[in-house]
Amino acid sequence: MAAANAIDRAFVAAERWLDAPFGARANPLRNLGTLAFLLFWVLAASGIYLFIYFDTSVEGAYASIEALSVEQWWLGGIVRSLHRYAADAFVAATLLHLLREWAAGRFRRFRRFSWISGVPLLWLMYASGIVGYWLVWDARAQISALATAEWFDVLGVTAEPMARNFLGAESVGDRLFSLFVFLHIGLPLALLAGMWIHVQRIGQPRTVAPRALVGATLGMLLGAALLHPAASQAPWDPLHLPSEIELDWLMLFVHPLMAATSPALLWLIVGGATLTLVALPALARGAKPVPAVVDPANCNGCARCTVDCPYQAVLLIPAPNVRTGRQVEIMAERCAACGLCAGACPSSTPFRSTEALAAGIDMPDASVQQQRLRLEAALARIVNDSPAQTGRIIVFACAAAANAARLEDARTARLDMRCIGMLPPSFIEYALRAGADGALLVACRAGECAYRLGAELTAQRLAGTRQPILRKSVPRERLRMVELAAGEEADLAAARDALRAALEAMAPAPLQPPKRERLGRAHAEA
Amino acid sequence: MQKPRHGATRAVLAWTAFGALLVWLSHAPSFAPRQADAAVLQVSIAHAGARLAPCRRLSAAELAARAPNMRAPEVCPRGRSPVRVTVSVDDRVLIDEILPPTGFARDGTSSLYRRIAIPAGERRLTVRVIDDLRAPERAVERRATLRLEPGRVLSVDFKPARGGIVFS
Repeated sequence: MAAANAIDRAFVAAERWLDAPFGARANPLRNLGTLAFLLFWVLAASGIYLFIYFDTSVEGAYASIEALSVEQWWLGGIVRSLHRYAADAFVAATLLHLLREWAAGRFRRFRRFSWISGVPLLWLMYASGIVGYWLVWDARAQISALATAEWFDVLGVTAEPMARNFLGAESVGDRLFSLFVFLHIGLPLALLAGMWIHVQRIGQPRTVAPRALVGATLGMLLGAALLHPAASQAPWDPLHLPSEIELDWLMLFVHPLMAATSPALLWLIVGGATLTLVALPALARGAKPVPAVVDPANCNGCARCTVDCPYQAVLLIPAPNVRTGRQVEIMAERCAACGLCAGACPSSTPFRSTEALAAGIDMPDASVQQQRLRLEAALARIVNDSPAQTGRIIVFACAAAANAARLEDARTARLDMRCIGMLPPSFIEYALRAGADGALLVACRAGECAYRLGAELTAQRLAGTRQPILRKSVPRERLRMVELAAGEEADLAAARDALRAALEAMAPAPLQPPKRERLGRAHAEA
Repeated sequence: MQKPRHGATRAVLAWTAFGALLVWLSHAPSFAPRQADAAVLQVSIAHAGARLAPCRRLSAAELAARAPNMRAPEVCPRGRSPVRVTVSVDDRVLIDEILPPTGFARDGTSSLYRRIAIPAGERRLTVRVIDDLRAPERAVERRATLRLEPGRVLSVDFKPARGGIVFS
């Protein structure tokens, strides 16, 4: 796994380098899957235009593309080049996406479905692209079609070798082009269906690229199309094999690989690679996360957890006995145990007077009850340690973000969370009412949330645009949220100090304390 | 915080580098599907060998033994002979293979496809096809001396309807 770690580190460094110009939201390296979706639509739009002018016949195919590229270079030629480079960019984005997810270890357990469903997409992607090259019917198409037929012939599944279809003028007919066009439309449609399936276990998948990313991508493709327009090779000639051709190594690399090895060995290589990718999630080891549990007595079927779950692990099921007629159910094998569902649950509020706090959906190993007790203990410590001072801060810290342990002092207490999205906003209000002068929320660096949506959902809850919201009466000036990765502890300390300085300049918060029975006990114990 | 100007430079640099890499990998390095001084011999044959047994008429006793709806007067065994193909260039044997008929009943075509690079220039080509291994003396053979330019693709097929072995 040393290689995976090294690649992961390289990706992280590159992603952070690109955060400066693009921001995490539009950073292409943080949006490789989204970029693939964007490029697919560029391919579809440009492909429709090309198809209008394409002549599906042996005699007309090459000529129609040449005419489009030469006589209508100002539009048809550019669209053809856009189609070509968008296909290459699609391959590059997809392969980088695969490498990124593998290096980050994002293929295990709850991500298994997304990983495995992505493997056939690689085949569909290459099949779509390779057949696309045949439509040009030039020397490159001749070599590619024949090599592909030879590759399949080694399987011996057809009565006659498929390669016989590409040997001479009499064996190549217009119907073959109808088949090519059918494949070049049918395979991408299958690819699109596969891409849709691929994101089915992702909550709120980002399939629409931000405008900045769209603009930058189209600009790059347009620049490439203008500076180096795509061109055909010599026309297809069954009596002549060129000694050298320009090859698209991103799309057609299998042909040189087969020439250097053999058709059988190429099957072994790509078959082995495919099986390895499919088997990878099963080979992975590590502790199983403890899935969330539903308490039907406290679940009102509001579906906030269903919407907020980053991995589609929370389903709504009919429940005739419940007022809303529905209830949630956990799909344990999909659950990442991130706790975002507990953070979204309206019953996860520490203000409830019940002694044994139970939420509608909760984490068995980090329940809302446990969090409330830990919060009360932490608050009691800073209240007891510095009763007369201001600037007491409670830090709600994501375990995967910058390490907040070093922040602890007489006026700083912390509550670690698996993900900042696990924090119900009412906990912040509770802390401010129960002894803290301010609250600092520490999330993963923007774009690096270990559970995809934690920082984003929390920010929306604090801003009041997503339920459960932080109530308007909570003074926002006593609140900071920072997004910092491990290694950025100095910045975290600076953020705490800045918040403290601001708090010390403020008058005491005009908030009523919560019921203090439990808190009083906690203070006494501390 | 990065200054916006600094960020814009990075953005342009990153996308230019990505675009340049895409364009380069889309065209280069060039691929050589054959050696510069080589021609290509493409042998592609799909031919059904001779029947292993001829059709014969059933005797009256045999017909009577069959169900009324199965009393076709003639039966034709389906099995076919393998086909042997031999290809030599300048007396060097490049292909000598016995091709079994396809199908579970071994009654389909025997097929062969080989693409072989040979040195360009004047070459003596001999192709021999035996479609009934029990009668090798009935082999079909064609000999020719051909001048093959570099890159020339010479296809060899066996089409009895067009006179046997076809060079194109």
